[in-house]
Amino acid sequence: MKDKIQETPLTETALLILLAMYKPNHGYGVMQFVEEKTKGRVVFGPGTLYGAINNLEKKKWITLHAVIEGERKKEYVITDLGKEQVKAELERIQEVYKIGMEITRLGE
Amino acid sequence: MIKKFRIFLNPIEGQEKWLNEKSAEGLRLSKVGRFFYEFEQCKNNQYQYAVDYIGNNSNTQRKEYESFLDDVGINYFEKPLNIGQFSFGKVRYRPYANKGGKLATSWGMINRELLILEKECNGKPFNIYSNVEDKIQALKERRKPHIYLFILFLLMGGYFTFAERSMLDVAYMNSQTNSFSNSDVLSLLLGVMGIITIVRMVQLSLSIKTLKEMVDIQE
Repeated sequence: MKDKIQETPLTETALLILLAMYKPNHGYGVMQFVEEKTKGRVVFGPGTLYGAINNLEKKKWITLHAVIEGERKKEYVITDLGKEQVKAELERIQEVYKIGMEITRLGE
Repeated sequence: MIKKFRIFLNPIEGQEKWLNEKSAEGLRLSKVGRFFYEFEQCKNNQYQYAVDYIGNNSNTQRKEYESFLDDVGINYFEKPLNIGQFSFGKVRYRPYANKGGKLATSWGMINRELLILEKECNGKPFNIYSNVEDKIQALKERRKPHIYLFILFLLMGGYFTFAERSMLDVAYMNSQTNSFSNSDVLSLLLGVMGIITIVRMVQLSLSIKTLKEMVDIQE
């Protein structure tokens, strides 16, 4: 189970956190990354972000990189396993996107 | 400094709403006690508030959550909530808490069941949980002490109904002049608390149900 690629879609929350952690990043950095990249569409609640970071760490998709400023800031970075999840998820999104464009003919 | 006294029947949403109303009047929370709140003057709507229930956490979990809040730039105030816990001296037992949080000690989790979160207002609503599944999970955690209290009241109600009622009168005081016996007063009190608990439990369950209906189509 631990080494298997997730077959069900990732939540948008999990995907965005994983992307924010391609470079070592901490809670506040992730929040800013997400708000900036989605132009304010996605704003993480602190409870949600905290829970998601803990769950991703438990699954070993991210790992603790450094603890700075007297244990206040915990920096995490994505693992190889995490990167595989992101790749699988992007492929899934592309598939759904293709189907969508084909049916709605929005691309024409 | 402005001091205000307030008790909430709904310590999460009710308190949240009240604090945000105060903020709209230009008051910023500076200190929180059991029933008292101290405010300082600030610009109208400069800060916004949300209340989080953390009574199910262990002391370590609470500290970790608090340092995370420090990191993301959110201010917090710890506040007691007295619901569904036994006290044995300085130790409280919370049957509904997560692993590691069942026994709360006076220097750890006692009187820190709620966190009042404060951040600068950015014109958007302040949600602690930003997806539906987390919202459901948070409501379930809040429902646990109510379920447990409900069972406790049932058991106590059963006890008072079937146990010898006279024993209670002797145990307290001899109240021949009183038109109510002590056990009647006690039953009434338990009854009122029981009803409040049931109402809150049903409210929480209804909110969970509404959110669950969304979960299949929305994250």
